[in-house]
Amino acid sequence: MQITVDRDAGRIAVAGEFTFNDHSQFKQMIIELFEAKGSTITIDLSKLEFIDSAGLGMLLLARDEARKNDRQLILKRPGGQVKRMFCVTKFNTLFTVEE
Amino acid sequence: MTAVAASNEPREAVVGKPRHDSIENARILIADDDPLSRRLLAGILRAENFRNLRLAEGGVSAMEQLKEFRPDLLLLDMQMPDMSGLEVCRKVRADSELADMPILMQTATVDRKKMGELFSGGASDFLSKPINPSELIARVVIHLERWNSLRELRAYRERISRELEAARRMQFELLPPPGALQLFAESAGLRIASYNRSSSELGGDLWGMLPIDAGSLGIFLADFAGHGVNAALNTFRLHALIHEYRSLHDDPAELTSVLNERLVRLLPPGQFATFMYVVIDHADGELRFASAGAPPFLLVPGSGGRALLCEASGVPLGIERGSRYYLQQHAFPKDSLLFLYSDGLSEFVDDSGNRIGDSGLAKALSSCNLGLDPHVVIDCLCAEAGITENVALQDDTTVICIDRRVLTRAESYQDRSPGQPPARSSMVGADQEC
Repeated sequence: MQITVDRDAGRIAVAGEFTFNDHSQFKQMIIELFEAKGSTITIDLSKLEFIDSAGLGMLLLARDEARKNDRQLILKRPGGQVKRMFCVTKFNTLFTVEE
Repeated sequence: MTAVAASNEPREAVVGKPRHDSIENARILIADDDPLSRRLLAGILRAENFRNLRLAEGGVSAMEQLKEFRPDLLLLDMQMPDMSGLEVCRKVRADSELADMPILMQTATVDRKKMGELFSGGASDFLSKPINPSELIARVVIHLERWNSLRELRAYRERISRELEAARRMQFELLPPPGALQLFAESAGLRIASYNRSSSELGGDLWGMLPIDAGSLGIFLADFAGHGVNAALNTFRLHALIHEYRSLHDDPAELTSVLNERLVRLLPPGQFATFMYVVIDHADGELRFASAGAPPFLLVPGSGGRALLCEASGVPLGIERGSRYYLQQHAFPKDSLLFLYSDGLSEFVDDSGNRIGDSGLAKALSSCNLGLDPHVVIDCLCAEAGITENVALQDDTTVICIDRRVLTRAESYQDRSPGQPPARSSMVGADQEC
């Protein structure tokens, strides 16, 4: 998975595949997430091609961190397999998902 | 010998830092053709409280004593007339039982090439002649401590792998016993086969069969996110919970809801399980099911049909309190086939870097010959996904195949005969969603 961070905009874009192997990268993402300015953090998923259940678990951890830090977390534009996973697992009811 | 020992300085002066008592019991074999050298080395070591010493007056004697004495460290002279230190070293290293034993070589040489030979021959370290007592003790202590750490690590690893093996067996025992399963399936007019393999010693998948009454039974398939010990311990929790709610076994939506409420309280953030529960009502020819974020299952309804993807959405178990799950139904007439799998199958990355996916599995199942034994259907779809017997799995993988094909005894034997190749005709049409 590739991660691009725009701290000023509070936006993180992820690309490629988000799986069990991205654990340490994800931790870095969490840190970047809370260094970003503003009350809202956006994770742009439009370039993410694949997510497995471990990836979903890590998104849940991000959601938990956001709640603890009183920040709003928005997941943006999931597509393809990621969108299907969000449908099957009803992740769109757990997160604010923007198209 | 004692005279030499007595002439040495108090041990604190030689080794500054305290050391572990156990290394003083270490067995040390000293091989040197010069009797004076042997006595000197032994004296220095005895003065440092090393009691388990043996002396060898040459290379041949050293080789003879190695097997029986089993030293923890070998102090070896480079030049001995009967067999050189280097030769002893090479022979010792060729023996798998002695391959890791520390070998200290005493040498008078300062020739770099010869030193290189010494290390490539398997020496752990060297001591320059004439021997300096402090250096001798320091190197002996360092190598014995390293050797001890290595052995402790090995023992630890062996203990852990024994315990993991015991845990793996316990986890295997959570699964339906094959004999009882076959008997039960036969009495319900079903054939059943399953495949369950973990990507490491312990897995996060669990499946089971729940007998309900004479006309129906339940099949569940759970997959805890991640794998390894954590996920495996959660499968034990879930197994206990499912059996606690026996009265809900005929109500997929309610059972799933209750399990969710219980797991939400047990699991920390980020941990969850996908869960599929299907009640097979073979008396009425119907499937009733609910899903908590599980992959779809495949259904071939009646003979000659294409495989349908049966999907139901729901938040995986253990994430959100109050999640609701909904009952779905589908006809399951005679000759139908049901194929359940965990994402370890659909998301397996094959040699060409591809995943078969849900629709790929549906296509593969549609092209399977009718009436194949469920075991053969599983082998066939696993092979299509790239999973063969010896391949390393990326995730825990569970597959269950059940059909309602009524067979005569003769047919039954024919299907189960070994050596029947998995039939793979050309792809017939695409999948549909039900």
